[in-house]
Amino acid sequence: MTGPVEDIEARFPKLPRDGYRVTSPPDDAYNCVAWIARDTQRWWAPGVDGYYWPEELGDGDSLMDFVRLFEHLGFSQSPGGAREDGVEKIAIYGAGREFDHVAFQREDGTWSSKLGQLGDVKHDTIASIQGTGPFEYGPVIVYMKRGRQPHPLAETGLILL
Amino acid sequence: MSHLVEMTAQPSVDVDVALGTIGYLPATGGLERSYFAAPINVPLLDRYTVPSHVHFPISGWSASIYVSAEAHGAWTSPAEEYDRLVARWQRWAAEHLAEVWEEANVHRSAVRAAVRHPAFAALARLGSVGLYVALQRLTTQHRPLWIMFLQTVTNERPAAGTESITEAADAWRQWGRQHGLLA
Repeated sequence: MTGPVEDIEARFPKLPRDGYRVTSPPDDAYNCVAWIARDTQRWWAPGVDGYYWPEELGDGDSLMDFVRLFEHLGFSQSPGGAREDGVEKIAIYGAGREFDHVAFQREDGTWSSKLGQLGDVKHDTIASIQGTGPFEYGPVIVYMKRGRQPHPLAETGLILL
Repeated sequence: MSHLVEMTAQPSVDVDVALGTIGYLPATGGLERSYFAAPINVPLLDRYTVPSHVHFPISGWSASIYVSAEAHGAWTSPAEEYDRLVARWQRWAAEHLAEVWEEANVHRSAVRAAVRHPAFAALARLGSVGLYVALQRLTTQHRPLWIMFLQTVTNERPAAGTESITEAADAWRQWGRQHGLLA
């Protein structure tokens, strides 16, 4: 039996080295996409009853389908992830044409991620959760941005450990 | 005394169970190797010590279970013993496959990729035993995985119209009761 911190560090071993903090307990009600949408009540993904996905976007689940979702939420593609005042950025991780994960840039330039059914984490670098390990996500393939909107849970966390 | 029963062996993965441990030799390699290669206790089988040999397909996997006639006293009814062993093994295998599948995919947000994990197909081919385990696991912290599993494997839509994991899990549990899979 392992705890939530061990579960995360076993899958993303670079996090402790690079700097991170667990900011919520595990929760299977929402995922990383919902985290970007400030929705902690629904699992945002296409094609399965009980998940939430805007009907007008169809059932596709490629990386580009997720890019279209974020465009639907007001994001447009960005050349990079450097912090800019008043700009909200997200980093979309993938492998080939497949979507793996999306991380949210906090106001201080660090990142916030909901790791599947595991908890939320604040991580100092975008690279801490990507790599070639068996559970690490693929590289960041697309950055997107929009005018910054409040995301208090990503700033404070649901819990303070 | 030993007893040999062979069912259709499917050669993608070999599983050897003996003296309470199990080791996998995954043909697929890749992501799940670290999990599949680890020895795992099999408490229900560890009282068997002298080899008998059963080839039992957990769909796409083949298993060799070594059991003991000596430890079991007189082996008077091999067929009955075999049925009992297979039922026990199926249930144990389904539970174990479920844990492997959850462990391998708990970090995913796009869980449809989890269908490629070999444990998915193995569980699906266990039929009602696999469905029972999936329905039972709708009370765990891995509900998005099991909701996807159930919809994909059964092609049923009891959760159509729901928009939350809790609503969908409730709908599937109701479906399980209606089909006699859950009490």
